[in-house]
Amino acid sequence: MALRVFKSSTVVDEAELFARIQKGDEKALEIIYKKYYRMMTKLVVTNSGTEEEARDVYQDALVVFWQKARSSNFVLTSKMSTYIYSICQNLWRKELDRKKRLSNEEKDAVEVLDMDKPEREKIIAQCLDQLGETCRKVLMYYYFDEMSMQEIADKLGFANTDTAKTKKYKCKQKFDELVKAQYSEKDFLD
Amino acid sequence: MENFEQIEDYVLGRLQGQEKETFERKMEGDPSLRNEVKLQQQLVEEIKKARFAELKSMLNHVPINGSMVSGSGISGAQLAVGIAATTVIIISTLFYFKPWKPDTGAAQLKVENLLPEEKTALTDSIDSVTKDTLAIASKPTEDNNLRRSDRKALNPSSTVKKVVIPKIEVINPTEELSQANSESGKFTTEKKMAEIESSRVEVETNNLNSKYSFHYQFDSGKLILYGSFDKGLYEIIEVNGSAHSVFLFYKDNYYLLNERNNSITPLTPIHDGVLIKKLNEFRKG
Repeated sequence: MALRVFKSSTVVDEAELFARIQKGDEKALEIIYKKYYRMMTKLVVTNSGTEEEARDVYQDALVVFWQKARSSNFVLTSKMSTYIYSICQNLWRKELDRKKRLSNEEKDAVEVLDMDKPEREKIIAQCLDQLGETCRKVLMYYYFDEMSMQEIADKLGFANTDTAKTKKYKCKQKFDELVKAQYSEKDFLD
Repeated sequence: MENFEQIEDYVLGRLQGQEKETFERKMEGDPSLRNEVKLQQQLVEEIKKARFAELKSMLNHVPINGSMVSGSGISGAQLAVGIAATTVIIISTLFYFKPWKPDTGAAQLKVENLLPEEKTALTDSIDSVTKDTLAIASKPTEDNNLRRSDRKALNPSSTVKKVVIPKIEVINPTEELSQANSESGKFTTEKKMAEIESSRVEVETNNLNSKYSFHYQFDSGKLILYGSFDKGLYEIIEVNGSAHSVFLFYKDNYYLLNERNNSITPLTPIHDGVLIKKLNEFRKG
């Protein structure tokens, strides 16, 4: 019997991975995450960041990349790893800037200004949770992933695009009603 | 329904030119429409935030085993042989590099630094990505900011006012390996290779051909090792940089496997110490 140890045998071509991302394959995102983990987190760790910050930045960057890749007019003009790396770089720069700003006096003012905002967001988030799993997914796929009705139907097992469209409409309507039932419009406006 | 669709189109940035202007004029004269648009913007923003958080949470649960993933199960005997081989490599590497002696420049291998000013068109475009695309990302980033602020508030040591912002050390993430390779003078086509194709490496051994006792060949993406490989432990190592490189580790030696090599080629051990060191690091995971 052959004595073999395979390492990293799950290598998949970059172009193939990107194509899968464009199709909304979350498994491909996981593969990319593993594939570039060290490379990307190293950027933050070697630039005064902690391991935790590095992971945080890398995860944010990948989700940004996911969303970009999903949009119909997106064209990847560089290697995927280079693109993701650049997002990491920008996010980490921003984080360093934020830390710098926090060390200044205006820090307190900024925090006081937006006291109500998290509460408002919390209310909407709770309503979203009340919608149920399918509705949440329909809305997230539609608004964030920009999936077509066909893609939503395929992903969630709906009979056809009409079903997906109706479902999306009803879910959104239900979401609106839930939010409006609890709070009047003025509660949400600045 | 029509109004609903128009509001949604506006919120999602689908209205352009004349249509958009008309809608905005309509909003100006209709406070209730204006309010509805604002509310819808907030709802969409929250939906996006929820999805962002969901994907992030998914990634957070992905186990990270380093840049290499173990494949099929390994028996105790295999493991023992592996450990022994690794120990020998580590010891020989130590003797080779003699780290207890003053460093003579091996550190350059770690990363390649580019000038901070070296901002390409790509990074400029990414700047706009992180500004614009993060209609959501700015949200989660805000969340993260809040989270980080909370952490900071809890940590007394972090209340120190003075924060030194280090100059970002820009690392070229993809050149590491190919740079090491080019030093060996043998692998100048590595980058091109990675752009062409890389697939799962399926391995087959062939010890029936007496003519080829220690050779390899790529045939339709499958790696064929000629020789009595079944008798010993070998490893196939794939390194995923910008250059996708495949190496064979066998009996304390590394061999570069050129995936474009369709002809039967003798296996030649790598002697480049820097590359060997790097590969040892990869193997150790």
